[in-house]
Amino acid sequence: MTRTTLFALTLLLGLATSNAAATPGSVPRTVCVFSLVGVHGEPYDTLRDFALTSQSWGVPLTLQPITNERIAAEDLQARQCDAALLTGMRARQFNAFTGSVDAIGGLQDYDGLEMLLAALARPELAERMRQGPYEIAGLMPLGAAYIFLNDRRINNVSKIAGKRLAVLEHDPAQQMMALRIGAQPVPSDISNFANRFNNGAVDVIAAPATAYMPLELYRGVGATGAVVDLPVAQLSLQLVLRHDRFPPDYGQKARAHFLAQFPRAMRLVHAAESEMLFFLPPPDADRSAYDQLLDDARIALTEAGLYDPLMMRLMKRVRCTRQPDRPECTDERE
Amino acid sequence: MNVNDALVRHTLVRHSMLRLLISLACLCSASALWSQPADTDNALTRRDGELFFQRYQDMLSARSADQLSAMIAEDAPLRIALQQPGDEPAQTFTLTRARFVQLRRTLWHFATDIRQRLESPRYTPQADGSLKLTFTETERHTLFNRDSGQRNVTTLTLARRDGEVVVVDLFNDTTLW
Repeated sequence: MTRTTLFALTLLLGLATSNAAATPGSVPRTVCVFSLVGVHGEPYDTLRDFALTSQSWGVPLTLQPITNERIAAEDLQARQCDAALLTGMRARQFNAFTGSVDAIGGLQDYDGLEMLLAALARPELAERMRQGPYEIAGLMPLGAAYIFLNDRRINNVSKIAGKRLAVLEHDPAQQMMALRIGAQPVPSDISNFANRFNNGAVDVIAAPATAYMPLELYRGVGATGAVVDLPVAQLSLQLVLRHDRFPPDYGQKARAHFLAQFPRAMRLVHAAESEMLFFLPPPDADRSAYDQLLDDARIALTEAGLYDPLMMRLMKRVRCTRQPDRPECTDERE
Repeated sequence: MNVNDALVRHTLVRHSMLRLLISLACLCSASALWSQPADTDNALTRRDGELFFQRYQDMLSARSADQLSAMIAEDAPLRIALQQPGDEPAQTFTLTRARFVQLRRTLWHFATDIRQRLESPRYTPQADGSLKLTFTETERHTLFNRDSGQRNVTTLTLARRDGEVVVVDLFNDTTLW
């Protein structure tokens, strides 16, 4: 090999190396992972598994656990992270369409939720996943939110009037809902709502079953309370990317990956739901009134601009596919 | 269409409806016959009820959710009329088998010092071969440092499914404290 050939090879190799470094995917990307329990718990484990998959796509990830969700969202906005795992309610500010999956009264069963998430992972909806610099690269079910009561005497909606209801301060939908039913909203956040319920500072909260054991919500329910076995909303975790920091097809591949994790997430949700004490459905006589209340609230919140109308229509289609005899399936309210 | 045509048509419709009603009545009678046990040997006896009641007590002593689940048909309607404070009427809840079993299982998990008493079993054979079993169950326990408990006046309909005697209908008149 002549000296000239060697030089040419070295130059080519050098060029190849510098090209690889310039590929957006080859440099580790930082993901701020909101997790109340830090590196423990399922959301973080799921992201750890995803990081391995991402590595195989040529995009190594550095996971950064953050216990305060507001900070995780702010770090994403401030470019401290390239992506963030947030609850759907928090992610609504980055994408109103997917952020409306958590709408009050949206979907009442998990088969319907799987149907919706499968639709959202389809390439035809990829455009909807992007809003401005952000892209939703996956949704994971956290389980339905249920109403937790510290007193079984609150046995219908009218009796919630005047009771102290913890609402997440970053979710105006919850505050509006509280006011609609005459409850006294107590602004809270994910890190303190459980303590407030457990020490009696609030009477009513909405939470997923997956929070029951970790946050010891059974203490708040106590011997005299109940958990209403009626899904108020389907909560989710959503991976929000700054899409300019990832390869163009990354989001679509990630959405397919997270959809495939649905059964794994649901196993945990079902296990958590089977641990709840005094988990009672609404009284038979009140069931349709509860459904009506949730439907009316969701429609009012959509009209107020809090939920995305297209997502509301998608969810209605899912509800009516699953239960064509629902009264709403013959009206045009959504 | 003149009045006569209308009358003829009306009469035809009435006859058709009459025939339909008669057919429906026959079908109903037939289905009533089908709901009778085809084999009278399958009809449950008081002895079957007593054995079931003994199994129920054993299950409670063992606090076995699996045994409780196996004693209830998966499609059985399970209704709880929960007594309310003051003059309010009881509220009725219909539970799936899984949620009904969960109610007991989670109580056994969280409660301590559990004491159960079963009394006054009554066995009433039914015309369709099933057996009605009624009893009162009182459970006292300590739950989150509080003396609490429940009293259930339980009415079970028992029937044989795949050779096993199981609950096919349950109604609990329940007081929680």
